[in-house]
Amino acid sequence: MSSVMLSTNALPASPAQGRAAVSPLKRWSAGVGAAGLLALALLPMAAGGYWTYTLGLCFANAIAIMSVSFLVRYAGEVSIGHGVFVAAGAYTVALMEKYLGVSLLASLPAAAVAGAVLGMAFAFPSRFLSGIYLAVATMALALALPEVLLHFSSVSGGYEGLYVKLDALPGLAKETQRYYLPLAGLVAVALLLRHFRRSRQAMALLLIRTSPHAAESFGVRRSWARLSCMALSGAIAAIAGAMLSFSSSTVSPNSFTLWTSIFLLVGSVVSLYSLSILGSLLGGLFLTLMPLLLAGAGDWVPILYGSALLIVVLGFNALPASLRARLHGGNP
Amino acid sequence: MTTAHAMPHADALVVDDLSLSFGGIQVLQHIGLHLKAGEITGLIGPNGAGKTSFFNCLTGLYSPQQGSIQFGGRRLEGVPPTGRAALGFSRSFQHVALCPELTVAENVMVGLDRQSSAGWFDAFLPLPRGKAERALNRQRALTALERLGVADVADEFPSQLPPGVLRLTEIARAIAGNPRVLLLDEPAAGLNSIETADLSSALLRLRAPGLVLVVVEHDMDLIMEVCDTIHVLNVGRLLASGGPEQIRLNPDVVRVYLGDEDE
Repeated sequence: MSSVMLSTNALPASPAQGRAAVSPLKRWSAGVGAAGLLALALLPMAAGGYWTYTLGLCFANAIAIMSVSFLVRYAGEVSIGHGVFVAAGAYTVALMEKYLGVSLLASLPAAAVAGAVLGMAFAFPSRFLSGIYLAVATMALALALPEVLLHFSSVSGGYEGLYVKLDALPGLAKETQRYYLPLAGLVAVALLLRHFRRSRQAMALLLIRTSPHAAESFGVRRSWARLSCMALSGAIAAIAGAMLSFSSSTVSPNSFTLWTSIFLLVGSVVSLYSLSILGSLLGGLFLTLMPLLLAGAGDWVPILYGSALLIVVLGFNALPASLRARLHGGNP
Repeated sequence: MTTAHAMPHADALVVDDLSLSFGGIQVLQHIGLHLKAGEITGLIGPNGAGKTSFFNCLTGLYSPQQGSIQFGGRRLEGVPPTGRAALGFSRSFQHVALCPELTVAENVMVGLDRQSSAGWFDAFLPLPRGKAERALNRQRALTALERLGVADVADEFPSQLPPGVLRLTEIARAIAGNPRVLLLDEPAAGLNSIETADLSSALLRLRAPGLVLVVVEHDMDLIMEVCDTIHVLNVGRLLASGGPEQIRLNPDVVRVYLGDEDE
């Protein structure tokens, strides 16, 4: 067969079509971001052990929130069962320490793989579900998880759970490790996702989310998209779980109830489904600090929590579009 | 008016006795067409004639109950849309189907996805192979946009652009991957007269010996100007086929599509 003479390789692109010059606003926000990261890096020198411990949990929660946001942004789906994937990472770390005697740095890749495999295992049978039906299916996972963990209590440690005691970075104080490792994890995941956004896979996923027929017409398969999104989201959640288990030193079924999954979704909404460090950190701060701030409010806690959620969501949505775009990670 | 080019039969898209129905509604009935490579073929008809459904059958989005579609001597029954994309099918849509979260250039780069090989490691890490492929794909996307005259908006998001530019972006996405079958569904919809004239020139430049180019369009001036062969559909049936002059003078076509002056 003759070849098509439609080649677009030969024609030179106009110089005017190069990437737009970096705007002063972008430079300014990049500078603020770098200063913020530096401040976080230096914070343990000024803050006490309580705050470094709490912020370590906050960083891990921010990663978990990113996993939910990833599913929303790239698959257009909502999960109310992501605590299951977080648990997969947490228990992988705890079990590998218990049975193999390895620390977080060695078990972290295995945790990510466990989350990805679990994501694919869930995605395949549910690949024809979407919207509220998929959300309810994920909820079923979250409801079943504590019972499954208790059923296999000889392995999972039952109600008491398992301990994560080994140092990941021998020689450093435990509380320092509990702060810096989740922070490094958050920065690494955000940078990886930032790079991923420019990939052909990300573009294909975004197109199939908004125009499935168009994407299929250009060779993108829906089943591939669903499996990829769930696997990646599950892997990110599992990394968060690994960090959480390390920061809190323990994993137990009580840490992964349906409420865990619901609060992850709440955190994702508060972060405006952001995949940036700043946005996910805001969600993580809300998730971690709000219960602590309201701890003394007694019966008013649910009302105050709900009010705070409304204020944050409505407030964020009232921000200028450009600022919201920054929280989103640069996209409109 | 343009003249038909000589073309190898092997590159033709042959549709034989194609029928499609949804429930009891017959959308297409016994359609038989020989869509030649090297020509620009027009497909016209009033609203509801079945033009877009015919495109959807060609690209595999719809499965006809009867008939066959052959391309390059290969029967396409059972070949999914992704498989047909791999064979070189490409299209634009009646309703613009761009992703609002991707820039114009990125939307066009999706048209090159099936020809790309960068893997998951390239997606997450700044590895040389992935960077080189991404740069090449962007260059090809910019070139396709340049051909349609909209390269200056490559880094804009679709929500910031008028419908005509979005339409041209879709066409750029469809041609970026060097297709062998290019199906354009109402490419001039939303374009003003100047943009339509530019589109007309661009379509004529797209004509290539190995390309089956089919255009569904309501703009009769555009169709008459660029097409070598025109097929007319009416309520799911093939009403007439021929060159632009034959179609213009066909009384049946005038009656059902262009309007009967006596009515």
